[in-house]
Amino acid sequence: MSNEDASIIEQVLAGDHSAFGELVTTYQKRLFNSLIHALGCPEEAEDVAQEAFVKSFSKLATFKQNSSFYTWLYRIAINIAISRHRQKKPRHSLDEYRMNVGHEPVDDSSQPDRNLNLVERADQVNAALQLLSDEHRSIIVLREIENLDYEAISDMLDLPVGTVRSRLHRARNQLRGYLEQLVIEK
Amino acid sequence: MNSNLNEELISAYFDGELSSSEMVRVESMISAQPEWQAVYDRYAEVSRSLKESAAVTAEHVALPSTFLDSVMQTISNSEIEMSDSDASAQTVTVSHRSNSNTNRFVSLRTLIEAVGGIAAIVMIALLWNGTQSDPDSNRLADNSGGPGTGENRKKSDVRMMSVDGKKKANQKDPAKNDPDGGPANVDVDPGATSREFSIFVDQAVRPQIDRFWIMSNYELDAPEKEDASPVNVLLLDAKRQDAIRFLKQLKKWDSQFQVFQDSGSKTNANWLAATQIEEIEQAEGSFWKLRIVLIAR
Repeated sequence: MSNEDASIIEQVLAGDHSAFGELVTTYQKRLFNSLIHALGCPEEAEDVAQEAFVKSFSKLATFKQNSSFYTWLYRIAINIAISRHRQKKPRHSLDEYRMNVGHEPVDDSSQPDRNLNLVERADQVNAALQLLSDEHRSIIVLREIENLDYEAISDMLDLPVGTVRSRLHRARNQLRGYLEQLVIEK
Repeated sequence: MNSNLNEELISAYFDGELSSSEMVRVESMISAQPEWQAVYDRYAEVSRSLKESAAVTAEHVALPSTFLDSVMQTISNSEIEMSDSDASAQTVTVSHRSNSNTNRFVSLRTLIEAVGGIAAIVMIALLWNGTQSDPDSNRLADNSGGPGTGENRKKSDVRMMSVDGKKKANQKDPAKNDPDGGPANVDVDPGATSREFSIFVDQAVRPQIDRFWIMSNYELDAPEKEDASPVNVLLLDAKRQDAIRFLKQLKKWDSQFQVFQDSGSKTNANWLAATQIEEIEQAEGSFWKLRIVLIAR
C-alpha cells in the first residue's frame, strides 16, 4: 500500500474524518469506471461506488493493510454489486446517462460520426459484457480495464492463478462471440 | 494437444503470463501453424475493444462533481445518527468508527433493513477452508483455515463454532476462541432433531452479510420425530452452487446432514432453518455472527 494512503488512513483513524475525502478523490474515478463495466449501468455504478466508499470508511479500522487500499475497496464494491437487489429498471446506455446527469455532449464537430460511432461501439461492448456471467465479467474487467496481472486478480478474487488463466480465456471467447452477435444484429 | 488448452495458452501468452518454457512452446506453435496467430489476433481484438470502450466511457461519462460531497455527507449523517442513538439505546450502540478497544453490539434490525426488508431472512455465511471434523465424537470442529484473501489466504474468513444440538444455544465466548488454535468443540447430541450453529465471519473479508446465501425459512415448528432422522437441508437461492459446497462441507462436520439440491418444489422442503445475525466487534476485529438452526422435519 502506498505511504500516502497509509498516512491518510492513519489520520482518519485518529479522528480526522475529513481526510477520508482524499482517498475518495484519489480513487473515485477509477472505481466508477471499473464498475460501469462490471455493472453495465453508470447510475448503478455511481450508487455502488458511493456505498463502497461509505462502507470502507465504516470498516476502516478492520482494514489489515495487507493489500492496497484500492484492492480492498474494490472487493467491497464487488461484494455490494453482487448482493444488491437489482431493480427491474431499464439499463441506461452511456448516452442516456450522460443526458440524465447533465453532462454536456462532447463537442467534436470535426468528426461527429466518429464520436457517435465510438460511443455506440462502447455501448455494444458494454452490452456484450453484461451478457457474461458475473464470474467472467468480473475477471475480464479486472484484466482489461483495471490492467491487473494474474497474481493480482488471483488475490482480488481469491482464486488460484490457474483458474484465473482458464476463466479469463473462456470469458474472452464468450465475449468475442457476443460481440460478433451484436454486430450482426445491428 | 487439446485445442482448448492451446487457446488458453495463447490467451495467457497475450497477457504475458507464461513461463519461459511455455512461451517458447507457444511461439513455435504460432510459427508452425498460422491459425494460432489468428487466435492470438482474436484475443488482441477483444482486448482492444474493451480498452477502447473503457477509454470512451472515461471520456464521455463522468461522476457528478457532487460525488465526493455526497459520500462525505453520508458519512457525516451516519455519525450524527449514531450519536443520537447512543444516548437512548440501552444495549445497542452503532458507530461507523470501529473502536478496537471496546466491545459493542449492533442491532439486528439495522442489518435486516439494509437487505431490503425481507421478513424472514436466513443467510449462511461461507467460504472457508480446511475445516476438520471429528467423526468419532460427532463434534464440529472450529475452522481456522480457509480462503482468506491475499496474504491472509491461509487464515479463515469464516470461523465456525458449533453449539450443541439443543434448541437453546450454549455458545462459547468468541473472544476466547483461538482462531488459529485447536477446535472449539461442543458436543452435538446425535439424537437431537435440531442442530444449531454459530458462524463468525470476518467483516474485513465479507463486508456485507447479504452477499451470502439465502435459505428459505418457512416455519419453525419443531418436528415430532421419534427417530433421529438425518437433517436434510434444502437450498433455494441463486448462489446455489456455493451453498451446496458449504453444505457438503457441513456434511463433513456432521455426517448426519444430507444435502439435496433445489428441485424447485417447495414440497420437497424437509428442513427448516432460521438465523439471527449480529455484528460483533471484538479486539481482533469485527465479525458477523450468524446463528443457524437446522431442524429436521
